[in-house]
Amino acid sequence: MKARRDIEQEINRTLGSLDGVQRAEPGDFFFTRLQARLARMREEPTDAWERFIGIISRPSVAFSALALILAVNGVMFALNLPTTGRQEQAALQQAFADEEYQFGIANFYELEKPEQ
Amino acid sequence: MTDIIAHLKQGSEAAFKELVAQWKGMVYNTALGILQNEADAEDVSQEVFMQVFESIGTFKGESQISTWLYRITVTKCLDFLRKKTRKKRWGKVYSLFGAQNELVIDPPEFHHPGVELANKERAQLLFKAIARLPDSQKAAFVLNKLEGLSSKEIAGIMDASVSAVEGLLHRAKQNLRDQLEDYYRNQD
Repeated sequence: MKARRDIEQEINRTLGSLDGVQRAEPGDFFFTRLQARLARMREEPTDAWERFIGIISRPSVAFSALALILAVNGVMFALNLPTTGRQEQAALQQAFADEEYQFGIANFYELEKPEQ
Repeated sequence: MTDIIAHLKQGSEAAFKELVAQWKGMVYNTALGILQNEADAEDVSQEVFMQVFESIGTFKGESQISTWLYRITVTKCLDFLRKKTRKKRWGKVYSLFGAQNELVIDPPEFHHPGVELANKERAQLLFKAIARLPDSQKAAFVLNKLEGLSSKEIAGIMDASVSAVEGLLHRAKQNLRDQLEDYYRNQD
């Protein structure tokens, strides 16, 4: 374990390690590469699709869309919960369908039997 | 310099070449300090000059050209870092679904070419700590340490007050000190 004073010295020396640093320069032919890129940019119009992907791939946009979908789902689910009125209506419709289309009959042999 | 700007506004390629030759070191060095990756720094430096070429018409000469260039560079670097973070985050999500995407991998260590050999290891450690600073502290510290700018000059670039910049620099140094203290304490 280093003494407090030693650690302090190390920190100060490390913080001072950038004193007198020389300026870094880009590689040779920087202007040529820049010119080539400018020429490429003039040739290709900005890709709208790429910009669109860039926008929708932002976490804020993606999570907002997900939250919106979940909220819409929740609302639709709440609206379609069975209520007493709906249950009665469904029962009436079922009874009517059973009577009209003979849903109670399982096979066609029974269908041919005359009603007694 | 005003001559170069005037010629550049008229679309002179020679003026643009002169401007790039004069300021490329400053732009690249700032970008390298913030991004800590030579390829990324070159990429962003090109983008800075492309923006200068496109928007020279909007430069009114109210601030110095160096301030304007520094401002564009810092903004582009911070945008680049945000995009990179976003790419990394989504890369992890995509990998959960088995998608094959280009991996964003940071090089393990960064050596600034201008650092003296004797300070190489310490500078590497310091850069690692700088990379963990919040964006505005990182930008202010790099401009101060690598470009040797005063608080007043940084305030002009970051569009903030001198006291705000001094606060940023103080917090940056304190953060770096805390990180380095953790490192040296756990070293043994």
